[in-house]
Amino acid sequence: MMIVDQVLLIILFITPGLIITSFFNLKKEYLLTLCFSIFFWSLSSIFIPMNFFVVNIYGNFIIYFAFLFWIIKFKNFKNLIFNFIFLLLFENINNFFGVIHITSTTQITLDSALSNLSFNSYNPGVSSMQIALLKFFNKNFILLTLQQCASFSLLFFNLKNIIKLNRLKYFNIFIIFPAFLIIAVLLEIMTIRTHFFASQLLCFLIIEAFKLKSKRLPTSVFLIFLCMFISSRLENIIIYFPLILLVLRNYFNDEIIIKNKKMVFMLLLSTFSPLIINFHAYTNTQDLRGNIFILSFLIILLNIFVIFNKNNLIKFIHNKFNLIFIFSVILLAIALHYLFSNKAMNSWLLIFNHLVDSHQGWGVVVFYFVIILIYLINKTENYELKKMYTTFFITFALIIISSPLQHSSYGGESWIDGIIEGLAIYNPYDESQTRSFLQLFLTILPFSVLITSPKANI
Amino acid sequence: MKISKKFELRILLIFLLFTFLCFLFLLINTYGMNHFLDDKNNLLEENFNKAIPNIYDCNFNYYEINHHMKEGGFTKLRFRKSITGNELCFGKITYTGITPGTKFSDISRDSYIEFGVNQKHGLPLWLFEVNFLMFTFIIFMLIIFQIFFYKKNFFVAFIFTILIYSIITFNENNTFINSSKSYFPNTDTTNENFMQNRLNDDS
Repeated sequence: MMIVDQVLLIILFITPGLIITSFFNLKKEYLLTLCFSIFFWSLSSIFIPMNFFVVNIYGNFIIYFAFLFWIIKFKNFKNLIFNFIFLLLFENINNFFGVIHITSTTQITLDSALSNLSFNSYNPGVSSMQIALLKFFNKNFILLTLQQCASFSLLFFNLKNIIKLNRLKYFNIFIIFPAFLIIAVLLEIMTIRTHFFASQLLCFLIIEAFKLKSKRLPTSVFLIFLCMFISSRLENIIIYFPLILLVLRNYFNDEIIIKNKKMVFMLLLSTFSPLIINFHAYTNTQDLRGNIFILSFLIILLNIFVIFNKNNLIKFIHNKFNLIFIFSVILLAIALHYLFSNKAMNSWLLIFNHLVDSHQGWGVVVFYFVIILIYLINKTENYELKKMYTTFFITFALIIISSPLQHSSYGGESWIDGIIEGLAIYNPYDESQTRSFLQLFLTILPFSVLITSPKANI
Repeated sequence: MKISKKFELRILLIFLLFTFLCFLFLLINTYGMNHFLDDKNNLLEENFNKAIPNIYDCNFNYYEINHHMKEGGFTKLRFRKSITGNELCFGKITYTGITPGTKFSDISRDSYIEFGVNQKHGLPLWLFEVNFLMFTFIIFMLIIFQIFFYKKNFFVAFIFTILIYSIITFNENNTFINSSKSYFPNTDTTNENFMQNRLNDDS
């Protein structure tokens, strides 16, 4: 009986993805189907009536009917079977062994999911995408590994892309395997949190931005993934803003966007819609991530940078990008030290403690990250790509430097008092920046395959 | 000015090596290396042979207690690291969850045993952890090899070192800090148990 429940839930979840891949004529890109499904269902946190399709039996039938229609119309059985087996396999592995890592975030995400399914919009500050991952259950079974399935699916897609574009051997993929034996990495991958998925979304965007135009997927797909990346984590637009700027700059490098009204509209839609998709999460978050004014400002800045890409000032900023970025991080550090004095130093040293400690392999991940970037910077001849890799380093610095902003919101009394004597080094102030670092590491990880290339330049 | 690729890799690695050495120097300056050089701690050997030591006034360091417990056959040890400003307690054990003097023979080898260890703010306890120290030493050597033999690509050797280290420490790291349970596999997180524990009342 349980297998029937699993089958019905899986069909319910993947049907939108199957339809969207067919709509974009991506029949052969099986590995993207689950991403589109997550995107579709993430909309149900803001368009609450959409939950009718998940929670109501008649709503379910509408989806099953759409599924049958899709089978008859498109007959893309390979796509269906691949994704169906992939999901079924992950769910059953978890059901037998228990490979998911349950954190406190799981409960608040579940509460939000249950609220949505009751046609309410309660959200204590969780991204809509994360909530969508816990909505698929019935009386006998719950799908728990949707994040892992979609993320691994996208990781394989990215690896396949890198391998094909650089004419490497599929065997080279094994070079990334050791990362999954580091407990700190494995734990983050196996949670309900969307860091792993977000990392692969950014990796996808970078690969698309640096591909030859003729080999790219449709621009609309790129923009949907851009929207997904920005909305996958509340902090993405703030922490990864420089990386998104570079990605968009490279993607639209040859185009005069300002003259293409349709493109401008699509770009605005894809960058502003995350503010709508995560509206409830943003408005219920007390820290910088929930500041709609700052988020809107950043998105406007992002669009100006891309739309006026041929402007001399924008070109100048682009040329001196990392210099400006480093200068901004230094200014931020000075501002934070001025604002919080010794507490800022406490925060920086605490996050440093956490990141370089041997516990759970954190120190190993930091080293792994640095060594991948050093080799990648050395290996590429592409100046823009080299710039991008350097931006990863500075983003890492930004994650550490910005830690007082997070600690001042979640550090409680001990942070306010500035007392560090006896403070445990593991997660002393609910440190989500360390997870942002893991996201950064997982973004660059697939590119490490390139280092094994026998070619001198890639 | 265009820097050649060989030179570029060397510059980056020399910079990494220099930073690494400065950091190591800082660690040695703070924690010292005596715990490796001293043969045996007499107090530990004579008074607490095959027993939980009496910990007070930072009298034992992290390395010797870890070594002492592992010699006793205990594998489920947890060291909770916390910050201190007391110079005399850097790298020293501050407490244990087991009554001092308890004989090893009275404790199950599967027991969860917790210790507290102090460290200076910003400086990790690498020098007390043999496995991690060996890992960093190999990495250090590989960086030097890569600098000298720049025509060869040592990236795979780095990855292989990470792989071996991760395999060796996997079981040790695959444990909750506050219990003897493992993260993976964990039957509490199966779909059925999740349903039972978290959804039965709500659904």
